[in-house]
Amino acid sequence: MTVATTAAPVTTSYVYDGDGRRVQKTVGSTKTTFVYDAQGHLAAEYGGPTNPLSGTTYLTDDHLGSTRLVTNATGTALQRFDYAPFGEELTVGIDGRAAPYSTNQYPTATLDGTSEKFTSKERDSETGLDFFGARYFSGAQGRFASPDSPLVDQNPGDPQSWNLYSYVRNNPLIFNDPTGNDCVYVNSSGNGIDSINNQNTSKDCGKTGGYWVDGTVTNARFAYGSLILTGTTDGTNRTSASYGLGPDPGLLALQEAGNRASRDITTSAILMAGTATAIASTYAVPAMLAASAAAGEAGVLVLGKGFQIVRDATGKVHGDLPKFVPKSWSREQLMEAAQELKQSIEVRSQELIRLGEEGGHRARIEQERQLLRQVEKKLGGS
Amino acid sequence: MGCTMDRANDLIEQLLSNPDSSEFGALANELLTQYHRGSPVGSLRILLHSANDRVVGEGAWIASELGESGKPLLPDISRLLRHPSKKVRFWSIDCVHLWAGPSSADELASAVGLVDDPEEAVRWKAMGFLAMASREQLQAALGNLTKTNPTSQYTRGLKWLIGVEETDPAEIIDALRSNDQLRRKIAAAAAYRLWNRDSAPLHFATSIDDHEVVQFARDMLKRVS
Repeated sequence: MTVATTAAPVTTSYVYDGDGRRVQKTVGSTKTTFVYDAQGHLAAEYGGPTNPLSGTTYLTDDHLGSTRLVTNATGTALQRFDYAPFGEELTVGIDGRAAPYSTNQYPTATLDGTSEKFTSKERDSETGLDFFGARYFSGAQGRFASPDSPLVDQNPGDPQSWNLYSYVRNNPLIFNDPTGNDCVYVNSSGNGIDSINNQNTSKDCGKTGGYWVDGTVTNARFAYGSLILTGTTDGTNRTSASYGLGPDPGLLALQEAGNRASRDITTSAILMAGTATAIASTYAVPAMLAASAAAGEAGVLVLGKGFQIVRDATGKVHGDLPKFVPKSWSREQLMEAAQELKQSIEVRSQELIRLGEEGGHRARIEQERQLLRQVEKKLGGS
Repeated sequence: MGCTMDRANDLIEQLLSNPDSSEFGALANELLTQYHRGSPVGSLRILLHSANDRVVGEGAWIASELGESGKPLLPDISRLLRHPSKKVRFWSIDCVHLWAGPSSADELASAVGLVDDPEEAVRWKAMGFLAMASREQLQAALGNLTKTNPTSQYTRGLKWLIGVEETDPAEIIDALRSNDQLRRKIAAAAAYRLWNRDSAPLHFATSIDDHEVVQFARDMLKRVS
């Protein structure tokens, strides 16, 4: 949103930097400039209207990060905030609330001095909308003011995922959307998470060697020599398809994966079909990065060293195959790989019979058979 | 990356200069490996635009193995759906299956039409596409056919396939008994799509008096068993 016109009428204009951070807001003739630190945190505001609160104030938040209490240096409660589930302020007069509860009725020209409200996002008094970085959110309507990117995080089994305006899949009492994204740092061994930062920007994340993923990482497991991160933007852990990567995060993850692959460290990323389709077509990343877009684990981001043996929509395993079974594969992983390879070989064999021609396809089947033999040998011997 | 590109170019040259070589398949598979390791897939266009059917066929196969990273080649594959070589058409269906989204409705509709291809292998592949394509892909194909050819014989079948999750299995079995061959083929694809809910139609498809449908159903049963 670059311009908002509200009753009165007052026209507000917004200016953003290349990372999508809002750097300036002009309400009527009053200009506020926002300054961010190296980590992308809002560090200071210059200009703007006079703050009615004086001196240092202290914000106390709840489990969602929503500001609930503002106190001064002596601990006196200056302001209290209660919210309806989607962040609409419950003001003085509602259910017996009295001062120092808020009296805000948006849009309002009267500032209360505390702009960080629901989930600590900045609430613009001129519109009553919360600035969530990529989009503005309306607590009164319980919806974002603009749609999310389509076909990125949509799941046929979850109707709410198709509502591109919904906030945390309509479960706002438990979940929040800190930045909409997490930056995940993998440990030096490549077999676990070192740390997760949900505050920095995609650019910073990429620069500092992190993996930018959409949503909140809720689980990490090591399989096929790869670190598999799962999580969700709605907080509902599903056994599959729990991660949707937005175009930008996906792009970065794939670019990073591609860079790593070109440095001979095999890295794979499995993305939701739409994202993978859109991104992998633009960047020369190894086929296996996105080969499994339509497979069972669509939407799961896989990072780290190793190979992923997963069939795609045509029922075949695509991508580079290891010459030898990686030592890191557990018995469970070997069994999964054997199952995938067997089914892929079945499809390929049927194709060979139907087409009656050989060529590279036969060589590929031989590769898969060879790997399957090794896997079965390991399974037999372990 | 540089070495990978050089090797890929070298392999392309060998494939173009000696398509009758006994090493042709091994070279093609090695080229595929080079693409998997990061060589830009654009060079595959040299094979896809070759005048030699065997070379184009091998190029189409390699493209079908690239997964999503081959998607920039979709415009090149689009015209190959009408290529005289059955091998080329066969592998092109896989490419469309892997790459085509709602914005590639032309390609999706063409792939559906190959269910009536003169070659049995291509028909078998197209039936597999109908059985495994996403609902969005089928809807895009239907939208295209409805617009470009409203009287197309495929529109009714596609509409039926798209709603197959709500279809009574007995209706699929009835369709498999139909005198209309196209209807039987679409019913076989529907039987596979319904497999998770009810396996009876796919089993029934192995017993009807239609060699192609029987073979297709047997193959699909092997995949799910």
